[in-house]
Amino acid sequence: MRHVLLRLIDPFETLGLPATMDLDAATLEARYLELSRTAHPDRNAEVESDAQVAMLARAAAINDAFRTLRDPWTRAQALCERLAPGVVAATAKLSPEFLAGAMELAEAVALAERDAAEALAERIRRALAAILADIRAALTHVDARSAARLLNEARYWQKAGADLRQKLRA
Amino acid sequence: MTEAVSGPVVVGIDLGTTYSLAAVMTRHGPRVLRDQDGEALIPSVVAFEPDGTLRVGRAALARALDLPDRTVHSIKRLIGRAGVEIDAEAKRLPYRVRRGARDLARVVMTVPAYFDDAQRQATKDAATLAGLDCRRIVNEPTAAALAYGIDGSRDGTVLVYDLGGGTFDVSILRIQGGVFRVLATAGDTHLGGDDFDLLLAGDLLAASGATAVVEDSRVKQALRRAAEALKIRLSDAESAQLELDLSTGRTTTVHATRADFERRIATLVERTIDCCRRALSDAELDVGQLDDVVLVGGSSRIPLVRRRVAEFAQRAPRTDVDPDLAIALGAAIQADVLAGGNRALLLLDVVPLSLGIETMGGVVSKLVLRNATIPTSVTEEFSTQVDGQTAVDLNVYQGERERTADCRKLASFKLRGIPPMPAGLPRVAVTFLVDADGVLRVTAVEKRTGVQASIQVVPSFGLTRDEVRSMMSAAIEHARDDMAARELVELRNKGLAMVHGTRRALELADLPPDEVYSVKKAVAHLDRVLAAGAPVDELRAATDALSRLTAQIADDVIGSAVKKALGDTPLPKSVLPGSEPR
Repeated sequence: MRHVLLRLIDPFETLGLPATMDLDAATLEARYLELSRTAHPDRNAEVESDAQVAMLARAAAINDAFRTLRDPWTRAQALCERLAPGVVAATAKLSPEFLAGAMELAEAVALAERDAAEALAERIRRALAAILADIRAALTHVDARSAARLLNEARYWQKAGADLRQKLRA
Repeated sequence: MTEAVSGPVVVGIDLGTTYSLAAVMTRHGPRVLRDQDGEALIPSVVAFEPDGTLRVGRAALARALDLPDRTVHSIKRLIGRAGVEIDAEAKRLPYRVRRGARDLARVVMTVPAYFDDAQRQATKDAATLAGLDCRRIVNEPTAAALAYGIDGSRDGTVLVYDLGGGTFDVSILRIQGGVFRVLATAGDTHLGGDDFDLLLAGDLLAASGATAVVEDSRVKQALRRAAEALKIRLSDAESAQLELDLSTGRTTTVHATRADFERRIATLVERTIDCCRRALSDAELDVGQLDDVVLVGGSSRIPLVRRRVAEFAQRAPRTDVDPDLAIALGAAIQADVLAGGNRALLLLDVVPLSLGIETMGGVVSKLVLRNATIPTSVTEEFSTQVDGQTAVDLNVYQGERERTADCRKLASFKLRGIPPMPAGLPRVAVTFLVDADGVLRVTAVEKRTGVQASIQVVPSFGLTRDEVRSMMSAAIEHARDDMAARELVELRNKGLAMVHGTRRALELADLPPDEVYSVKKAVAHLDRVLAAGAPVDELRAATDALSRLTAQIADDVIGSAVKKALGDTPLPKSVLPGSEPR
């Protein structure tokens, strides 16, 4: 079985926040807590059972929206989907050049020893920061397609980073 | 209780491995309920008298030595575990504690943060069967944080270290304007004070030299009690002395020092610190970002534990609430929130372990990641692998590892009635919904056709929840039958242990050949009876025969066996100086 991540509910709308990459962390958190205070099932223990199902769905949506928007990568993905639904899946097929580079990267991770590993980790961090900056720029120009392609490329770097961390721990 | 309780009452229950407590909110704050003797800690023990009478709590504990085979304790370690791990009915026995207490309709129950879905379900089911309306399952460390005067008025980040009788939990919470948000949680459902007791008991046994009676459950109980008492005394004193009476007609004086005890338990304590490290890393925090460290659970009284936590957290932990009471008091506070009495506080708890479904090749595709705030709902779309496939299997797993073999299977579903289509065309939307109790519901819909097969959850131990319920109800009606089944299981366990123990003793002992022969014959007989799956009577006859034989020669065995046991095993001689048998 293969699977695709579905975003059924727009997280910006759920939290009533402007749809932008430039969300202030403190504002986001304050908004989340404010909504949770009224929407959490604990605050509504006495409502009828039909309404409780809706309450649960609403509380879940608020938690999930906060989780999505707190992380810049998932926030960018939500923005892409908002601008052009399905665009992240549609741009999942990457160029042969990029894939060749990604394979080299995976090899480098597999072979990296102690000192080289530190340098490689730094290289991955920088690459991801650069990609995120490009995504921000693309989204500022309402270019969901470029942003989505970059998100798909970033996955390879993120996976390489995670593999390297696991290797360093072991 | 003399304090008035107003409004709808919801009672907070801390169902502990060794002790249980209940608390309610009063006008003067949360108060622990006490029995007629003024005791708040009710031993989590049930005794079944031979005449069928049931005793609970302190009365049951008092019978533990006389009725070791009929006294159930530390049951929390078994709750929600599969049949291979436990005698299936044992897990539901202690809940009859509350049967008949129908005025206690609405409760909040606490569970270790690290309890998995099956263990939470079992706890909820147990409450239902006991006639209680369980309004909420709360994680223990979260409840403890509530109790810790951390009343929501002061913001900050808190680490709660909860070392109880049988489980260890650590949670990191952020408190902001009355909202308690769990950032991360980690733990070990099989690590607690009981394990310290067991280590000590092993040492005491070696010191007493009672090798041949190791498997006598009466001796076991006595040893456990002695070990627990010694452990508690070593928390206050640097050294302690204990008269050990193992019902063998001899008493042994045992000396122990705190330093030796600490060396013995150091590895286990380190395991708890590793969990703290993991929780901090999950919360993406450094130790320096903690504003408070709170100790909960009776075992957090152990000086080594306090010292190691202080070293790790780089600050003195708070201990100003009785660690035994904190969880129950916190549960009462949360109960008050649910009853509508407190509008200022809110708990945002998390999923302790990731949840996912099996995809091609035995891999777990995670839908809900650990430490996700609950309630949470995640929908992902899946498809078919084979052309014309009309049904898909949905196997639900819990755990952090990649492969199904390394995770715990929670349930199996089948979505049927998908019209034949080429592989990859059906769109099966799978939704995981975790409610505010941390309990999971899964639904699956084929989106092209709208087929939404009714899905039945099958818990990992191969029974549906309805089956579990009816079995549990039946067990209450047929307590005697259950007890017979239980007796058989216990007798089998005892027999197996005797075979092993006696064989080991024979290796160590210098016995005359004729005695070796008769013991070996009795062991072989018991072994055969066990292998044949014999009924209770036959089994009892075989174990009794071996017991009589070994009792006669026990004294001879002890002398030589103990010297060897102390000489060639890593049992710390240093823990128990002067432990030569008399």
